[in-house]
Amino acid sequence: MDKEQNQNDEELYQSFLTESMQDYEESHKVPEKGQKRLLKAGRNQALRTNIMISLAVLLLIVPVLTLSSYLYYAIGGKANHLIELASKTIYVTEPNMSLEEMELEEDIGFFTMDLYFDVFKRIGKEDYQAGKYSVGFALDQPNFPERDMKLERPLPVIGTMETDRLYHPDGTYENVDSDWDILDHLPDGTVGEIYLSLSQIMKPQELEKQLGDDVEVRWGAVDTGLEDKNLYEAEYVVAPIGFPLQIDTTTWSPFNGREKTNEEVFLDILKFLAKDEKTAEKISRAKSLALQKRIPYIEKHGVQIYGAVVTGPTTELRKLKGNDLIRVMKVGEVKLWNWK
Amino acid sequence: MELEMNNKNKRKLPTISGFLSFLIALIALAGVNIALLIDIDDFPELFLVQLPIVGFFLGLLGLITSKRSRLYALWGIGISLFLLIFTFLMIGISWVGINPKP
Repeated sequence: MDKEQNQNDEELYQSFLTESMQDYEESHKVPEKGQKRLLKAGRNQALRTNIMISLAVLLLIVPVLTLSSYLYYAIGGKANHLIELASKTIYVTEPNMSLEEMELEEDIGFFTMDLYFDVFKRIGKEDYQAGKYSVGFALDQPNFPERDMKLERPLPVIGTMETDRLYHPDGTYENVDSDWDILDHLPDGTVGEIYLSLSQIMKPQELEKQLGDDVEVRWGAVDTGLEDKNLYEAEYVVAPIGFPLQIDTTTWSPFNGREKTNEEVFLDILKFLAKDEKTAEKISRAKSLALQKRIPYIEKHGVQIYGAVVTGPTTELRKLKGNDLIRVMKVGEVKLWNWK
Repeated sequence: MELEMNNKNKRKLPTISGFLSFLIALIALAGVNIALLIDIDDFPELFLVQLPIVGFFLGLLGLITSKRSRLYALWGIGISLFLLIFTFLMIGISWVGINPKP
């Protein structure tokens, strides 16, 4: 009885199973046409997904690189540091040159940054645009700056003690003649910028006192112990460094005279540049700045100048000819009368 | 035994919302690429703000519905969020991070 019952159950179960399998097959069987359609739809879907994801990845490259470049230059103030370095290098290595910090512009590419700024020279009582600088950085390494100078008599691209018109009294130079002839032939209604090399080193204030109020001493070339030596003794090819002697009222100039005197600011700048000397050397025209040697010398001997850039009416500049203090005079720029 | 697997009508809308989210994000991304590459001065607000916001919410909509649209929705949300963060960071950096001018 039990056995028969079991067999019955099993048959019943089997028939149920077959029936439901048949049902399933019938109700879910996809016709061949439908299969193709499904396959096609699946393929299209996969293709679309592929295309869209590839497109997204490709399109993400530029924004991701841009954002990471900006982050690279922003984090830790790297860009601001480089901007500060470039502008301060100009102040201490270019005679009578200043720049408008507010007008400085930067352009950030893929891990590169270009800085653009104008430099100015004070000739007479007005600031004239002396040229345009563009400094490119790859990561934080600078390329040599491109200079587009609008000057009558620009200084050479590579500056040395012989070429920068400011000569140390104890230095040995060949063929250094003064430009009094040029000054004599200039009309009276002009203002000029001249480079004076002194016959002795002295305090900047002393020189200003000696030259009087009719001319303005713009920039003093500081004696750092290397200027009077030849290459063999000095070990470095240096060019003059110095600082503006007048207070720059532009808010963002480091020489604004609010907290420190110009001499103190000058030393601060040298110490600041010494931390990143290679970069500063590239931006300056000098082959080397040799700040590790120059800073201790200045700290020991004080800020003494051996040369200066002076501006004033041509008539007043001519009067300096007989001055015993002046060993060599070189003419820089000349502009129409603006001395008020 | 119910083996109901197919309901085409229900799925269509959510699928489209995820797909649309991805598509809008891609369009915004392409716009940002163009703006960056040709160096447009104007702020491309449409590509940087409006489209990513639309893409983000469409993506959310796509996410809470059917499974098939989830991949698209996630990509849409991801790209939209990236663009919004990109905009936010770029504005912040150029304002205070690099060469700030009062």
